[in-house]
Amino acid sequence: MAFNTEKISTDMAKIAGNRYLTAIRDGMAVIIPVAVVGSFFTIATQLPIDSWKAFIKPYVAALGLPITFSIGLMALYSCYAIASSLAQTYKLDRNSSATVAVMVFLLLVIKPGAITAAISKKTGIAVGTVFPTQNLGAYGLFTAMLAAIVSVEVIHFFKARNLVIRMPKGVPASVSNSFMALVPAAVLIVAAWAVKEGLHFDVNAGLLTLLSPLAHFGKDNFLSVITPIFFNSLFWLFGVHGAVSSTPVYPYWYKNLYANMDAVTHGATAATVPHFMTEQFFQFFVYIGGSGAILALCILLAFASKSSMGRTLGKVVIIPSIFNINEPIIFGLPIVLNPYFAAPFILAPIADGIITWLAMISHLVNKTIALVPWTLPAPIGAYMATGFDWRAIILTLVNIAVAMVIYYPFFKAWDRRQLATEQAAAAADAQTGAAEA
Amino acid sequence: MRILLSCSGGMSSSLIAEALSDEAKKRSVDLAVDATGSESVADDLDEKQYDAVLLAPQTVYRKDAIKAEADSHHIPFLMIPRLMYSPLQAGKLLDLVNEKLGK
Repeated sequence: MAFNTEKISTDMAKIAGNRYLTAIRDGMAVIIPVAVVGSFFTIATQLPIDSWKAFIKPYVAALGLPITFSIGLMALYSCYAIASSLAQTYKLDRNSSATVAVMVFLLLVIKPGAITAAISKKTGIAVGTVFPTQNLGAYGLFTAMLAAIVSVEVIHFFKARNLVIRMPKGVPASVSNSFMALVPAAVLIVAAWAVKEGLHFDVNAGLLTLLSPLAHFGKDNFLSVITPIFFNSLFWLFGVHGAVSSTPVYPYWYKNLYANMDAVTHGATAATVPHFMTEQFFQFFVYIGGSGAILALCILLAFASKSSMGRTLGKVVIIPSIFNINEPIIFGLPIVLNPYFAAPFILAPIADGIITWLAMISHLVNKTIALVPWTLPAPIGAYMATGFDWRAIILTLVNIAVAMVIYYPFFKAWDRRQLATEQAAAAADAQTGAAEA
Repeated sequence: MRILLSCSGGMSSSLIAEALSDEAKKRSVDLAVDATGSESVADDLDEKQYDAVLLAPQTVYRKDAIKAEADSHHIPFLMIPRLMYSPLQAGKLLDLVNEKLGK
């Protein structure tokens, strides 16, 4: 066969294992805890109890504060974490590398303003320097990634060529590490400053223009619904963790989510916020039970199998899958490189994506306004992420049912063959048993 | 023997780690298994003494980096074969661990 699956599998692992992609993925993961906690402040305003809504109304703006400082500053946190994780791969000092990267990032994206005495009197804001925050959020993520990668690469370059100040032995490691970063830091900071103040070049705007083709996948349209699902399933089918394939689009998903959260603090509800295209859209409405909308298949295995392997495996994999952990079925059945399940593993989540897309654009279900932990069972996660919309629960159940219908014929074919194998094995055992007796 | 089992986020590996420990207990083999995410492997190895590092098949994209970590701590590294990464295959996985890491 001309189609070498092992080779494709290795190539995909190579793409996913790219040093920068992995650092970006690990780095962006650090904002999840703060973003989840920040999100609770958004959904707190949306509890479906009228007396609570009336009570909370005066505090809606104040409740926005933790959101501003969590997901609203995500580029800042990510820059530090990406640089730190990349520095680790080069065995560089993580703290000093990440600190330099953050300074380079801030230099590139922030144009400080000033509050004069006159303005202070009018607004009540203390006199001093102020920083606009837009570029510190999802809007500045690409520059955060660039600053982190370039900074660590430059430090690595200098260290590899020994162009650093080394302290004599006996100086504490933390002191000598910070001196190690001194020369590359000077070069980086002067360069960033020259780009910003000398050339007057807006790196963030430049990057956003350069990457604008990617932005299409962050927009609220049909293509951005099906493309990430397709690639996610494809990666898993070759045995590689699928989430990596969406890394380049994450900044746009976060930007949309933050826009939704921000709209809520300004009085919108989950029904009226602007964007449906967020990570949560996929997490709770499409990847139900894990990639491939696989919970549907787990249910079929556990309750509709005639083969004993199907029943046994189904009972083992269904519980992790309820909490969206899909590796046990993906490698246990397996799904990986299994011709029986390749088609439904791609088609079922795409069908769920299309249904959810239709439901959201026709305002049948609220859009997502919060980042809630991905291990929540889909109906609960969807209910919370949509600001407590009970229709979201119905939608997840419909999506599970649709996925079951799509998996069913393939499951049936697999189960029949499995049963035949088991019966043949049992017959063979009986025969040898009879012969021995 | 204490082994570190890494997947991408430390979620699925904890299920496999549990199944593997249960299997070891059944055979009264002395084996402790800790689950972790691939980005914490370096820290985990610095913190505790492990006898081997196992990596989940879907995290194959981190193979080189994790193997390098194991090498730098002078302990064996083992990529778990796809068909053994399932709670039902813990017996086979334990056989493989015993065979590869030698008792």
